[in-house]
Amino acid sequence: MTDVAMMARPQRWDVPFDPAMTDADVRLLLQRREFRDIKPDNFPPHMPLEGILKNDARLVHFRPGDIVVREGDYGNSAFLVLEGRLRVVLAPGLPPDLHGRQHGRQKGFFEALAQLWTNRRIPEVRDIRRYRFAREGLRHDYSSGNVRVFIQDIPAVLDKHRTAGLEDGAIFGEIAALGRVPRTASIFAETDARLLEIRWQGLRELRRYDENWRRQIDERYRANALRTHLRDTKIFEGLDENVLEAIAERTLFETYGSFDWHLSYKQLMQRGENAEAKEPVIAQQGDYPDGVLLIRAGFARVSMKLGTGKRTLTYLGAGDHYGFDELYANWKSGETKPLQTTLTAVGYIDILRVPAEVLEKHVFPRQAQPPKALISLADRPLSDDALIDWAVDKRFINATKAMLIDLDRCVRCDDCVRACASTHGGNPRFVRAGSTFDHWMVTNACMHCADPVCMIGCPTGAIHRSLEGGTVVINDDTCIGCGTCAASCPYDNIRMVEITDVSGKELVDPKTRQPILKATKCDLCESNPGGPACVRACPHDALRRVDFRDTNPFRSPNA
Amino acid sequence: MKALARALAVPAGISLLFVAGLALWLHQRWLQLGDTGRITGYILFAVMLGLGVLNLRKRLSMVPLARAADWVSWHAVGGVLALALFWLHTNTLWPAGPYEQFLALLFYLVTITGIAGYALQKVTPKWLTQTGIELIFERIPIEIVRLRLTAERVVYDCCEATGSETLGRFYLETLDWYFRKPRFLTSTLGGGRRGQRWVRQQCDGVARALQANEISYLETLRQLADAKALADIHYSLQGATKLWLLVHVPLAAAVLVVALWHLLVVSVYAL
Amino acid sequence: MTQPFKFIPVDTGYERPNFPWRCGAGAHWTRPCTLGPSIHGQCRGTSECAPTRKGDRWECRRPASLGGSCPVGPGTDGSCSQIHPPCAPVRTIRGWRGHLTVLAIVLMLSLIAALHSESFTRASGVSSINPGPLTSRHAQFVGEQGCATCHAAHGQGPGGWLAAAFAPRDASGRCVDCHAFGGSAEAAHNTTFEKRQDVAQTSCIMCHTEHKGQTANLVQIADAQCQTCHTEKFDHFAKNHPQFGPHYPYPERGAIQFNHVAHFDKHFADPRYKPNAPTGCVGCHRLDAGVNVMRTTKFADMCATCHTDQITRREFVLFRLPEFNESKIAAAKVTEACGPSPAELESLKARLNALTRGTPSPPAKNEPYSSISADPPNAVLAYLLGVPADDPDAYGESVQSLVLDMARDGVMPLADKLPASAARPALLAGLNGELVRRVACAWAANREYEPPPEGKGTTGWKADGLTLRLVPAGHADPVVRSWLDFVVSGPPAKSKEDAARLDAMRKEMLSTAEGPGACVKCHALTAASADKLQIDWSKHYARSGPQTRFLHAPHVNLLGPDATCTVCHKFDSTADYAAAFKTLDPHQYVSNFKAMVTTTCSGCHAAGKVRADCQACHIYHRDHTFKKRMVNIDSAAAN
Repeated sequence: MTDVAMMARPQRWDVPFDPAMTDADVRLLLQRREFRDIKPDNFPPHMPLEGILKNDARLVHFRPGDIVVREGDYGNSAFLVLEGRLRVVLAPGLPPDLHGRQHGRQKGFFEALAQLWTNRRIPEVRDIRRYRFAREGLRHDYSSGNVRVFIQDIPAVLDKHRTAGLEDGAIFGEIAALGRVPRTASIFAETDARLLEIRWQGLRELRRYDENWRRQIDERYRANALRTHLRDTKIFEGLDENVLEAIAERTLFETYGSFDWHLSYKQLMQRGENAEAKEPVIAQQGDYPDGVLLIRAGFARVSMKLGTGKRTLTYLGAGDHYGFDELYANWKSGETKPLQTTLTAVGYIDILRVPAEVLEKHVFPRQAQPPKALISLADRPLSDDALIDWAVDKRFINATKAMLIDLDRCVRCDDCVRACASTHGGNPRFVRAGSTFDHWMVTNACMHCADPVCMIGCPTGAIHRSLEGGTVVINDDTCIGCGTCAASCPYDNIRMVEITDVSGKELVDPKTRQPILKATKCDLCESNPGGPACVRACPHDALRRVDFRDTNPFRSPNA
Repeated sequence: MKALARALAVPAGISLLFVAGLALWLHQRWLQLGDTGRITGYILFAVMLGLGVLNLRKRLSMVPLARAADWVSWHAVGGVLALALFWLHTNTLWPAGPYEQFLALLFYLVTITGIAGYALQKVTPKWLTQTGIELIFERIPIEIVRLRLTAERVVYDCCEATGSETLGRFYLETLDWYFRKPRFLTSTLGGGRRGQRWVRQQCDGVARALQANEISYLETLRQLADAKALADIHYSLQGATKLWLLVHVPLAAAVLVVALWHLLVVSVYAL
Repeated sequence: MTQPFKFIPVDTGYERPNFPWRCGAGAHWTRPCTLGPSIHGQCRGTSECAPTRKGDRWECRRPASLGGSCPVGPGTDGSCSQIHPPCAPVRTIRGWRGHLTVLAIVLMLSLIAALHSESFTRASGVSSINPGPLTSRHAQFVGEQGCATCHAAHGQGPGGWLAAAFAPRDASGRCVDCHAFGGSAEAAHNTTFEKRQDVAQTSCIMCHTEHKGQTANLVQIADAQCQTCHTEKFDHFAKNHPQFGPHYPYPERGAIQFNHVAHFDKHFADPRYKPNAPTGCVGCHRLDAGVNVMRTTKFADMCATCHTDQITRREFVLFRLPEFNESKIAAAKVTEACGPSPAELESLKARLNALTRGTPSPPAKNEPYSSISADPPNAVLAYLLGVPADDPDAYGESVQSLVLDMARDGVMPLADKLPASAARPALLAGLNGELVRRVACAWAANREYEPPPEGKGTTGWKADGLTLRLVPAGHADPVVRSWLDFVVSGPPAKSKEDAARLDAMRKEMLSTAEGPGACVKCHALTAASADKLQIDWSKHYARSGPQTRFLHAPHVNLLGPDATCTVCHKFDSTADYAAAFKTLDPHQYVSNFKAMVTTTCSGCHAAGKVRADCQACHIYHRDHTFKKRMVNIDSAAAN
């Protein structure tokens, strides 16, 4: 009986990156050496090179001082320098305030205590005199609607920091875009510069269908980040540098799922559909393994067939691996056993594939004892799956600091909310409601995701990971209230609030007559001593902040 | 239960040791004809102040002052400790002077409300969880109004679609009262579900008088009424867990004031 | 068909449970507004937006949180179309809690203030400073002074309170205004113990705490508390209480030598005396008198029937005229003092007749002197005059001189011989001066005194022949008693001779064979000190300890009046009772009752039977008395 509205099935290029891109722009681009040598025939008919450039790329102009990418930001696009000169700030990076970020300074005990009387009784009061940065540090480009943070004193920065130049033809930002890792350095325009910004989908197609681009991207990645990652992987522990080098040589890169998974996920959730069916399959139960899969970023669900359905055994995150136990067993016994489980991408996932022969040569002989098989998880009762299913379906696996409430203990006194308000100027930063399962509730408090999709697209970098603890925080001074992050958050954990001045008067934009908004969310009481006040304030030990990557996030640490 | 025992074990153990040690020492002092009232009095007052500090701790959640859960464990055990100290101090269940009787009455009331509240807080979470829904107390009015408006809409739709006024009359006669505000609060307070039984009785009763095309509307109403019953449980249980403090906290403040005057008078009038 | 109802978790902004107000509409179960009340409790939900003018028309600017622009839009005058009547916001439960807490504090403070105000306290009888009623006895004594009777700070105002809070405690000061003890009020047992220097100073309130109700027991003390100081510890009286003293409870002899064994077994069994025998112990011992000791009744009621004539027979000779070798008394002086004697009168008459007849009187014949007495002076007289009793030449002059003085002045010369003391009048009480003079005159004239024919009265001072003596009026004759006291406690001897004479006098006076010495047959003669004797006229047994108490009455009543005393007091017929009275040391005593031991008592005073706590027999305080006496209210009012 549900009402059904009709609409055309969304197509890949229904919404171009920039509608202002013209065919003329594309023609000019195709004459540049980076695109000149690409063989258009390698591209499938439904995905022509011109289409990629027209729909997945845009031309952007930066004025001197404009920050193009900020260290620590998440980005979904890479840049190609067309004209002008840019500067990469080498380590140590720019100070946070130049990025439009806040210092992660902690309050002292008495400074924290002072909140007792400095906290406002009026909701969402802001001292607007503080918003100097908003007036002086931002450059509004009203024609495009873009807002940019810019460096006012370029010579001073050049003087104080080691920088490297980026000239015409340079590509940067592709690792962050494809690998879903934070930008490793800040880059700003030294002169007027024209750049081609390619969003990750386009970049993926270019890498997939053009040998040159692939080689270029992969080599840069191999050179920069792969070795470190392999060294940190558990199964390669204790291997010497030469062996790691050999493994790195043979490692393949793959990505699955949608970079903007959170948007489609939210739509699915709103429609009440099951997300699991839409998850791209990475490896299928019954297939023969040809290598071990290392998860570099994102999440994957491990499931197995059960009757006509499926059951979820566990989920894997960054640093985990898949297929190792089957390969090892085959190598040991000489049999060819197929994969016991299916691996599907939950959201976006970046995967390294290390071929079986490399493992057989370098890794298995050193393996002291057989690895624990993933399939052994299937021994547990079926009813135990439900909790895992819930965590994966609701994407709580993304959480590093989810607020988990044991409802069998919670008396619903809201002491946690009041404690939260007491550390945030009298305003709570979460709502004690959320998804429940059995006697567990994950509240609408920021989970400080391993994959913080909220950070994608923040125009000013106001929402960022703090360098100290990796907490996702919003700098209220540079937040322009655009709501991008709140719309991105798949968990509804970012709330836009209408702010008032110190006298309690609502602040309204003189042009639009709309209230001034600020994005707010849990900051894990980062600037307060003693960690999250909500945990401390719970009188019945019902509230915890849990990392869903732990083996059993539901087990009480006191048990 | 295990969690409860774990939470209370350390404070209870320490308090027990303290009381036992104190009682032994007081006995020695009593044997030597020493004054015990003054010492127990000061200790009792200190413990009472310590218990009262929990209220301050709740206001000072912005600074790290140990976990509130530990505070509450200590508070609960400390309350019982205070009762033991009270008896050690007075050597009687009921003192002789009218002012002291008043003080004792207040003290007992605070203790009783405290113990009752603590027990309540251990029971209500599970009952609330059993409802299968979660509601923020302040939002219950919104939800109940929403339920009522939806129910009224359903009744209106039914009348319009079927042309029969039976369901409308039924609603006005019975369900309107039910949807108006939370009902059957005392039943839900005891963990009962009288509201749901009442809804079933009413709906089953009227179902016989309805045409086939009206039944589906009745079923919707029934679902709404069942949802309302759950909201009622939340309202009464959450309300109770908040209301007991409305008694406990002012009484505790009163006890501190009355005890302070007692302390003052005793130190002035002591021989 | 509509979807089953689903609760919408969170569709708007933050819930703010830290705010003290909530929407009044919601409180009345009508649709609450999304804005909620202001922090000051005012409704903010009357309209949903403030439309803005754009060009010539008004635009709705309802925020997205309320659903974005409303379909109706602003009115032509720029007013919001979504108008609701204002609600009256109500406090949250938490908001009320804060208010009630403040209210409770204010209420308590005003209650205390009211209870502290004098007018309220007087009207209601309830006070914030009175921790409970006094015991009824103390309550009667506080009177007009009220609390200030004991509490110095009472009614002294804040300054006095402050001073009192820091002043040193005077825990016992006000108690001793009324209570007195046989020692320091602040020493354990009102005694200073030589052996237990470590016993700290005590104070009254250590044990006696008031304000515990009208009928509260202020004197309760637990056995364990007693045993804290007492070095000899024991578990229970019946089990291992320290044994009583060897002669308990008869540590020394009493005043009267009364051989219970002899009386009961011999005399009372004698058919002659049987009618006079008492009916059991209570024939002599009174149940209603005494605490520790069963006092006996009077001599007259107990002993007189058998023993009176044993007393009246025994006369006390004050003056026995001794033998003289020669008369040193000039007849003229005797005549001058006494007038002519009958013989002189005869001779005078003869001389007068001769004179009138003219017959010259024959010259006075100097007849040789012959003493009328052949006895030595009695020892009392010898002692008083300080003369040897065996040599008439030595004492003749003193005695004759005294006789002449007595003949002249009556009692006074005799009294002058007695040592000056308060007892002097008692010693000669009832002695008639005329009698003395007449006796002395007779003796001076060397004649025996011939008393006139007996008038009435056979007791008292008598004289006949050569003696002046006292016939006792009966038991406890005061003069005899005074003489005996004088004799045993007489002034110290001045010389060896004096000592011998004192000894002789004592021997004579205390002779059990004759004279007043009959008294000491029953009344014990005791050495009061090394050189001083005393007769125990009446004396109770020294109590076995000042801290011990034994009530006979309840014991007797409990066991029945007959044959009860002997349950504890058992005759010891083997004891040499009389020997104990032959010595002067009262502690060299053998009772003719068997000594009591703890088992005598523990037959009843045992666990599960009769109380056996310390306070059953022992009293903490020594000689507790009251300084103030109960006053008759009527007479006090009259004054």
